[in-house]
Amino acid sequence: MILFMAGGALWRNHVLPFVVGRSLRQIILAAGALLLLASGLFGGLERAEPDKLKTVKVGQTIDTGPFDLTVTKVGWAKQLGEEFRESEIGRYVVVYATVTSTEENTVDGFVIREALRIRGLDDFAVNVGTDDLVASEKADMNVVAVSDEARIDYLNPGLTYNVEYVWEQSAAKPLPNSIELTFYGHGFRQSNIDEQENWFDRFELATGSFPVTELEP
Amino acid sequence: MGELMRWWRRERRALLLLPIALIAIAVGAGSRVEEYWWARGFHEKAAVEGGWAQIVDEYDDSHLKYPIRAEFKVDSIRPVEVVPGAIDNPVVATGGQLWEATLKWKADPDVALVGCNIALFDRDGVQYNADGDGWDSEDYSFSDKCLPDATVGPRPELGSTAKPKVAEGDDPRPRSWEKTVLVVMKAGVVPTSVRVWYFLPRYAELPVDAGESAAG
Amino acid sequence: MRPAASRFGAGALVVAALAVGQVLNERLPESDNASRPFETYVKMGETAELRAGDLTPRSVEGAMKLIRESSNIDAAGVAVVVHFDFVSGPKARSMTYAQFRGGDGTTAHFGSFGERSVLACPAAPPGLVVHCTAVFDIDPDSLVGSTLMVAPNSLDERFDGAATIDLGIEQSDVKRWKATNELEVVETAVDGLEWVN
Repeated sequence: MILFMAGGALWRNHVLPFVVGRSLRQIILAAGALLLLASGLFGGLERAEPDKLKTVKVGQTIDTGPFDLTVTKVGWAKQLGEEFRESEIGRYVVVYATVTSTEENTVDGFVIREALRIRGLDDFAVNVGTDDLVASEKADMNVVAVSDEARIDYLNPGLTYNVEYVWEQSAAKPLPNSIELTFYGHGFRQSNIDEQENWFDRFELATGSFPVTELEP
Repeated sequence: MGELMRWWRRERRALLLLPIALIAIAVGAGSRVEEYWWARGFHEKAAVEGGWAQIVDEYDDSHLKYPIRAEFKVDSIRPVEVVPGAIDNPVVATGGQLWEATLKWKADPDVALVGCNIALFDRDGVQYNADGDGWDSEDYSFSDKCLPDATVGPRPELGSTAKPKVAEGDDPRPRSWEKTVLVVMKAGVVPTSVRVWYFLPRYAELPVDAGESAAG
Repeated sequence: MRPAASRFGAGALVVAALAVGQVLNERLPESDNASRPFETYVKMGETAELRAGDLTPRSVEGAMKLIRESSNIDAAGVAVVVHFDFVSGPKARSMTYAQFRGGDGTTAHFGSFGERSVLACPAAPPGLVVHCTAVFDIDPDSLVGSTLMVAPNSLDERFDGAATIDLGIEQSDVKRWKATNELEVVETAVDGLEWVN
C-alpha cells in the first residue's frame, strides 16, 4: 500500500511532468527504443517457434538438423552382445535407430547422443556402467553401431549407420509396455567461449510413444 | 621555418608522451606473451649453490597453495643396457639408447614435493623426458621421478584444500635420498644437462659431464 | 579557425578514422583464416618438416571391415587406413588431430580418442620413429582427390605446423577396397617396441 502510494506520488510529481515536457517526436522514439529493448529478451522481432511438438511413430524419419533419425524398435535385455555384459543394476533399455548424415562436415558423437531422451521414467544410470541413478531425461547413453558394437563417435558426410542407443536402468520396477521418447533438433552456431562452431543449440522437436519388447538374448 | 618551430614547441608535451603511450599499448596488447611463451618454456632458472640446484617453486591452484623447496645434485648419469633390480629386460625402441640418471636430493620432510618433471638435454637443446617413453618392460612400476619409492612425504589430497600431509601408515620422508630415473635418448647423442621442474617457467638445471661416463 | 569549422573538422576526422578501421577490418584475414595452422603439403613417401617433427606418409589402404587389436569395425562407407611415420623434433610430441578433405568438398575430422575414426600417433623420444595410423569410415565417393591434414593439437592449432597429405587415391583403389572384405591393421607402434603406453 505504502509502495503503491509512493509510486503514485512519483508518477504525479516526476514522471508525468517529465513526459508532458517532451515533444511527440521524443516520446515516439523512446517508446520505440523500449519496445526494441523488451523484444530483445524474447529473441527480438523474429517469429517465435510454435510450441506444439510433432508426434513420431515407429519408422518415421525426423530431420534433427545435422542428421536424419529414424527409430525402428525399442527393447530391453539383461545383456546385449559382447559389449554390454550382464547389467549389474538391472537391464539395458535399447532404442534401435538409423542415423543418416545430411551434412557436408562431420557431426560429433555428442550431437547424436543428445538427439534422443527417454521421457518420464526413473532409476536410470547417469552413464552406462555406473550405479548413480537419475531420471531418464538426465541419463546419458552409449550409441554404438549394431553390426560391430563400436562407438559412433563421429558421423561422417554421406554415411548411414544402424545404431543402438543403450541406456542402463535399475530393474526395481518393471518397464511399462511402451515408453515415450523425445527427439531433439540442433542449431549450428559459434561457441560463446571460443571460436569453434558446432551444433550447440538443442531444442525439443518431437515426441512419440514406442512399444517395448524383450530382446532375444 | 618559424611555423615548424612553433608547432614543435606547442606539441612537445604530446611528443614526449607519444613513446610512453606506444610502450603502454605494446604492454597492454602483450598479455599473450605471458600465457603462450613465458609460462610454457624454461625461463626462470634456479640458483646453484655448491653444486646443489635450489628448487624454489609454489603449487597454487587458487584453492590450495603450498611451497615447493628442494635441492638436488647429479650423482651419476650413464648409458645402460640392463638395470639390475629395477627391470629385467628393458626393450628399447629402435635407434634409442637407455640412460640411467641418479640424482641426490635434500629437502625438509614437511615439504610436499610430488609431481616433478625431469628431462635430459643434449647439446643441441633437444629435450628427452624421463616419463617412460621409448622403452618397455614387463615388470617395472613407475613411481614419482624425484621421491623415494616408499616414503614420498606429504602429498595433497585430490580435490581437497587441506594442507598436504603424510599418508597414514607411511613413514616420513628422509632428509636426504637418491633417486634413479630412466630416459631413452636417440642413440649417439650424449646428455649435456639435466633439468628438473615443477611449474614452468621455473626450472633448475645442472650440467652433466657424460662424455667420460659414456665412454666408460 | 572558427569554432564551428573546427568542430566540423574533428567530426570529419572521426568519420575518416572509422572508415579506415572498417576497411582494415575487411582487408585483414578473417580470424578463422589468421588462426589456421601452417600447412605443409606432402605426397606419399615425401617428408613434411613440421615444427613438431618430421612426418612421412607411407601408404593408404582400405576395406569394408577392419580387424584391430582394440576393436573391429564394419564400414558404413569404406574404412580407410593411412600409415605415416613421425619423428619428433626438439621434444616429444604426439599427433592428435586429423581432418579429411574429400575430393567432393566434404570434410571429416577425428582425434586420438575415437573408436571408429581414430588417429593413433603417440609421443616418442625425439629422433625415434613412430609408426602412426589414421583410420576413418568415409563415403567412398569423396575419396578421389582427397587430402588428410594431420596436426599436433586439435584445440589450438595456430602456433603449429600441420602436414596435409595428398592421399593420391584413384577410382580403381576405391573399387578394390569396396571389394576387400577384411583388412588387418596394426594400429601403431614406436619402431622396435610392441606397444606404447
